[in-house]
Amino acid sequence: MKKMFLKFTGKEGDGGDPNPDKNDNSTTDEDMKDADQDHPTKDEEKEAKKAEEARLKRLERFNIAESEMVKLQEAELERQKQAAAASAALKASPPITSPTKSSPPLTSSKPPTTTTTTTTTTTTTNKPTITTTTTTKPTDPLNTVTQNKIRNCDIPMLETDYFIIERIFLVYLTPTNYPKCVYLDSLSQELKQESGGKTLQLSRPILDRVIVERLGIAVPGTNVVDYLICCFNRLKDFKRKKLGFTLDNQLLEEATDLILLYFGISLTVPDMFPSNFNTYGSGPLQIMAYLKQEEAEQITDEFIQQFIDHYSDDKVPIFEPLFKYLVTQMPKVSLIGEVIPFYRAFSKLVQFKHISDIAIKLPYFNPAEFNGNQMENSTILGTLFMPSSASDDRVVSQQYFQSASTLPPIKVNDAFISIRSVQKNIEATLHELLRGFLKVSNENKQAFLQWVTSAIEKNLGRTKMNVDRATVASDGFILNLSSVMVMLCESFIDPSFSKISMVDCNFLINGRHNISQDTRLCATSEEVSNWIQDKSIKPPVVPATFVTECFFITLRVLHIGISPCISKIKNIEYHLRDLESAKKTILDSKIKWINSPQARLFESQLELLTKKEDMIKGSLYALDAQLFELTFIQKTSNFLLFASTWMVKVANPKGLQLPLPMPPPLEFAALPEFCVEDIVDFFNVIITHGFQQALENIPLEPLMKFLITILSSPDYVKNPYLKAKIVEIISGFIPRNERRMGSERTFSLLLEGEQVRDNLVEALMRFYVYIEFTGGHNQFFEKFSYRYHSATIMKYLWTIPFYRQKFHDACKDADKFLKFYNMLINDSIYLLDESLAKLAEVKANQLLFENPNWDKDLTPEQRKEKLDSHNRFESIAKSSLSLANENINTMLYLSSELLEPFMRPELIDRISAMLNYFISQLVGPKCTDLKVKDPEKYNFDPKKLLDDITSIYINLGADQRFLQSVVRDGRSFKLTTFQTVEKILARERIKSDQDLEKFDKFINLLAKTEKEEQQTEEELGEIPDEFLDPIIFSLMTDPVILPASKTVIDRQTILRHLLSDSTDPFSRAHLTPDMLIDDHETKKKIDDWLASKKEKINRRSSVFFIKMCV
Amino acid sequence: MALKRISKELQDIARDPPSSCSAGPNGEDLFHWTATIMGPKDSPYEGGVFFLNIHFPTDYPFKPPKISFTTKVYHPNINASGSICLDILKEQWSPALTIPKVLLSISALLSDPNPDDPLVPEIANMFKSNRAQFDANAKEWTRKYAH
Repeated sequence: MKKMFLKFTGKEGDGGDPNPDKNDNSTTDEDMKDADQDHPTKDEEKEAKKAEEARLKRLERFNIAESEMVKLQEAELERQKQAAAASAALKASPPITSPTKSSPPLTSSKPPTTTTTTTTTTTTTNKPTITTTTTTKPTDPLNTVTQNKIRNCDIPMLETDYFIIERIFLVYLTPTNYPKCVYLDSLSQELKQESGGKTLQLSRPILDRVIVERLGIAVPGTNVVDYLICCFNRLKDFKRKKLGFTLDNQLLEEATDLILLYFGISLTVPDMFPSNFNTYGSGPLQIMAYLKQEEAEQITDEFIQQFIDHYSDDKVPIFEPLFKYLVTQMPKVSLIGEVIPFYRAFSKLVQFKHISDIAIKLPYFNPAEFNGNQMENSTILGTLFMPSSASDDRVVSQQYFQSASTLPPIKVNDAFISIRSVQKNIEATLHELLRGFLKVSNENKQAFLQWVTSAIEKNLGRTKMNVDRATVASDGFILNLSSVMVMLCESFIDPSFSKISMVDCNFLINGRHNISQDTRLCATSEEVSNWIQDKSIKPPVVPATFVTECFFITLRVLHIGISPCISKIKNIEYHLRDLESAKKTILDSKIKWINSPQARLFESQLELLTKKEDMIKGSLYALDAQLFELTFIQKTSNFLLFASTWMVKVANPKGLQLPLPMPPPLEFAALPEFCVEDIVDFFNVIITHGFQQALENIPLEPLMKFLITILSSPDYVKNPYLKAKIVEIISGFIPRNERRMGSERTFSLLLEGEQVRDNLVEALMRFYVYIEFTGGHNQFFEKFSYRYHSATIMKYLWTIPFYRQKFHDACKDADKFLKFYNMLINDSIYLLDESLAKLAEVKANQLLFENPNWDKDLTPEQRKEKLDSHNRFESIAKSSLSLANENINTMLYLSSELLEPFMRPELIDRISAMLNYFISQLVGPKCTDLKVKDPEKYNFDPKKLLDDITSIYINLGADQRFLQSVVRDGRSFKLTTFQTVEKILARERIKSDQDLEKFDKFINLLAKTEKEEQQTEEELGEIPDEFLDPIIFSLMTDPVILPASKTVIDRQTILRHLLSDSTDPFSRAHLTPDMLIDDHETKKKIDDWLASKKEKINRRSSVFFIKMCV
Repeated sequence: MALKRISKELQDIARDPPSSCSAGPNGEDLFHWTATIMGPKDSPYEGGVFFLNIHFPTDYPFKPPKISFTTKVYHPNINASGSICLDILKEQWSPALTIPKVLLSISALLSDPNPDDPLVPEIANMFKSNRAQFDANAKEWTRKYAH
C-alpha cells in the first residue's frame, strides 16, 4: 500500500518539475511508464467520480455557499484591481497587483455557518477531468515565456500568472494534455464569464479559488497535505531558480500564505476536503509521514518556519498531537525497530523555538506526579531514551538470545557485535538530537535540566536493594541517558581537563540537586547543613554554568545507571550458578531416575530449569550488550577521569604532598559518597569483566592519582569498602596475573605520576591495616579478600627495584608499619588454621564417601545435610587456602630482606609459634588427616607450603632472637619435627641443595639454642601471682597500669594486644600505647624478687649460673 | 606462652567449677578441649546436654578460641556444622575473657537467641513469626540429639 502511494506522489512531483536540468530526468521517463501501467484510466475515472461525490457531501455539511463565495471574491478582485491601477499609475511597477494581507481569504472561504444550503453551482455539474494522456511529452511551454506575454485562450492571462497556476499548483484552466495536471473545469467556466475575454490578472482571491477548487477534487495518489507541501516546494524552487523572467514576489508571497493557510485548515478541519488523509489518518498526524521522511516529498524547515509565521490560529492543536504520537508510539519501538525516523521527527520539530515552547509546556513533558518508570515511558524526552537491548520490552533478548543457555560463544559474540553497532548509532543520533534541542533556547535548556533532574530523583530507588522494578526506569533507559550525557560533556572535556575549574562544587552540595538522602564522603548530613547555614560552604554561583549543570547531572545519572546494573549482573551470575547446580544435581542422578516412574517429573523439572536459565542468561547478555559497548566504556572512562581530576582538586586544592592533612576541606567532606563510588565501581567492573583493552589508549594517570590520593589519606573517605574497591581496581591492572588481563604497558602507564609512585607502597600497607575494621556485619571475614588484592599488588611491586626500595623505606620507621606486620601475622595464623581444620573435615568426609553404603541409614534430609556441610567445608578450605598461600608468600619475600620488623618483641613469639604449629601439622603425626584427594582443587600444595615456611625459618633464623623465640614456644616446638621436615625436603627434592644446607645449619642453631634456653627456664621456680601477667601468666618484666581498669599488666602483652585492638581488654575502654602508666612499684618488687632469686641460685650453684650467662 | 595461660585456665576450672558447664582437654593435647553446656532452665533446651569442641589457636588469648557445637542444636545463631554466631568469638573477643566466661555467654545465647543477626535465616524467621513452633522444634531436637 505504502509503496504505491510513494510512487504516486513521486510522479506528481516529477510531472510538475519543469527544470530540464534535473538530474533524474532519465528515471522520470521510466517512472512515467510505470505509472501509466499502474493505473488505467477507467479506474481513475471511477475514483474521481467517487471523490467528487464525497466532496459534494462534505461541502453540504460545511454549508458552503459557493455562489456567495464567488461574489465575495469578485468584490475583492475588483477592489484589488483598482488598487493595482492606482499603484501602476504611481510607479511603473510590476504588472501584477499586490493585494494586501488585510483580509485573509480564510474568512471568505470559511464563511460562518449560515444557513443557505443553496443551489449547487456550476462547478458541481461539471466533472473535473484529469488529463493523464499517455502521448508524447509536450515541449515545455515555459521555455518561451516572457514577462508580459499574454496567453491567448479562453481566459487570457499573463504567461507568468499561468506559470504560477500551472507549474506551481499543477492545475489548468483550459483542457490540456499536459500530464498529471488537473483541469479545473468549473472554475475555468466561472473565470471565463468573469473576465469576459479581457485579460485576467491573477490575484490572491483567484489563487484562493484555484486552491479551494483543486483541493475539492480528489486526485488519486495525491492527498491534500501532500499536494500543499509539493506546491510549497515547487514555489520555493522556482523562486530560487533563474527562469529568465520575473515572477511577482508579492503574488508568490500570497500564494505561500494561502498554501500554509490551507495546510493549517486541512489539518484542523479534516473533513473539509476529499482525499485528506494518509497512512497516519487524517488531521495533524499526517505531518508525521513527512517528519519521519516516509514520503518522497520533503517537508522543509522553511515550510515549517513559514507555517509557524503565517498561520495565525492556535498552533497547539496542530503540534500537540505530534508529540502525543511520539510519546505513545515511541515506547512500542524496540532497538531493532524503526527508531531513527522517530528521532528525525522529533529533531525536525523541536528545532523551532515555537514548537519547542509548545512541547516543554505540555502536561506530559515533566509532570510532578510521574514516578521513575513513567518518566521513561510517558514523557516526551523519556520515550526517546527507551530503545535499548536492556529495555524492559525484552525484544532484543528474545530476538538474539532465545536459547541463551545453549548459545555458543561465537553466536553470542556475533549478536553483541550487531546489537552494539545499532546501539552506538542510536546513542549518537540521540546525542545529536539532544544537542539540537538544547541549542534552540535557554528555555529548552532549563526544561531539559529540570526533566533530567527529576528523572534522576524519581529513579533513586534503582540504587536500593529492594525496589519495585515497575516503579523505576529500565536499565536501558538510564544507560542511554548516561551515554548521551557523557557525550554532552565531551564538549567541555579537553585532553588536559583544563575546565575542571569551571565546575562549581557548591552547586551539588547546595544547589538544585536533592542529595539529602545521600551519604557524604566524610561528614554527617547535620554537619553539612550547619556548614551551609553558617556559610562555611558558600552558596553556588547563580545561575550555574552549563558545564556545572551537565557535570553533576552526568555524575548522578551514572550513579543510578551503572552501579545498579553492576549489582544486577552480579545477582544474575549468582542465580545462574544456582540454576546450574540444581540442573547438575538432577542430571547426576539421572541413572537412578531414568527408568523410574518419576522420570517424566524429573524431565519436566529439567526443562523448567533450562527455560529459566535461558531467560536469565538472555537478560544478562542483553545488559552486557549495552553496558560493555566499547565506545560507551571509553567515553564514560574519559568523563570519569575528568571527574577524578576534579575531585583531587577539591580534596587537595593546593597540591600538597600525600598523605593529605586533616581535616579535609569541607567541600570535599560534604560531597556525596557516590562521586567516588561510581568512579571506583565503573573501573572495577570494567576490569573484573576483562575489558582492560578498552582502556588501553586512555591515559589513566588521573585515575591513579585520584585512587592514591584517597588511599593515602584514609580519613578523607569514611567508607572502607570504597577503599577496598580501589585496591581491587589497582590489582586488576597487574600484569601477568593469571586471572586478569593487565599488561605491563598499561600498568606502567598507570604508575606514571611521581606522586603515585612515591605513595603506592605506603598506601597499600596503610590500607592493609585500615581494613581490619570495616564496621560491616561481616567484617571479620571480608577483610581477608580485600587484603588478598593488596597482597597481589605488593607481590608484583616487590619484583620492581624502585618499589622494593619503597618497602625498605617504609620499614625504616619501625612503629609506622608495625600494625601492618601484625595484621599479616594475624591473618596467616587464622587462615592457615582454618584451612587445615577444614581440610581435615574434607578428608574425613572423603573417607566416609568411599563406602558406597555411607548413606544407607540416613534419611534424605540427613543425607542432604551431610553433603551440604561437605560442600561448605570444601569451599572454606579452598578460599582460606588461597588467601593463606598469598599471606605466607608475602611473609616470605618480606623476610628475605626486611628482618627487623619481624623481630619486634610484640611479634616475634607469634611468628615462631605459628610457624612451629604449622610445620607440626604438615609433617607431624596428624599429617595424614590432611591428605585429601585432589589437593589442587582446594589450592592445597603441601610441598610448596613447606618450602615457603622453611624458607621463612631460614630467613628469620639469621637473627638469634628468632632462634630463641622458636625454641621458647611451649606448644609445638620439637626439634624432631624439624628433622622430619628436613628429610621430606630432601626426599621430595623440594629445595635446592644449597637451601637444604641452609636449613640444616638452621636446625643445628636451633639445637644449640634449645639447650641454652632449657637452662634458663628451670631456675625461677614458683612465681608469686602478683608478678604474673594477667593475660599470659608469665613473669612480668615491665609492668604498666591500664588507666581505665587499673589492671597491672606486662607492657609487652598490652602492646601486642593494642596492635590489633585499641581497647583495654578488661574494660573495653579506648586505649592507646601512650596512655599506659608505668608501674614503678611493681617493677621494683619484681626486680627485688628476681635479685633475691638470683642470689639464692648463686649460692646454691654458682657454677650453673656462670654457665647460663655464657 | 599460650600454654601457661591455658594451664592456668584449666587450674581455675578445677578449683572453681562453673555451674551448668564443664570443660577440659581432649586427651593429651592441651590445645584441644571438649566442653559441655546444660540446656538453660526455662528454655526449650532444658534438660539437654550439649557438647562443644574448643580449639586454641597459636595466638590465644590474643585471638579468640574456636568453639563449635558437636551436638545438633535448633537455634537461629547456630548452624548445621555447629558454628556459633557470637560476637565475642569474633571481633568482640577480649584477651581478658576465659573459657568459662565464653561458655556462660553461649549458654545465655541459648536462652536468648538473636534472630536479627542470624546464621540460619529459616530458623530466625520461625523464631520471629511462630514462636510456639520454634519452641516445639527446639525441644524436639533437644530430645532427639541432646539426651
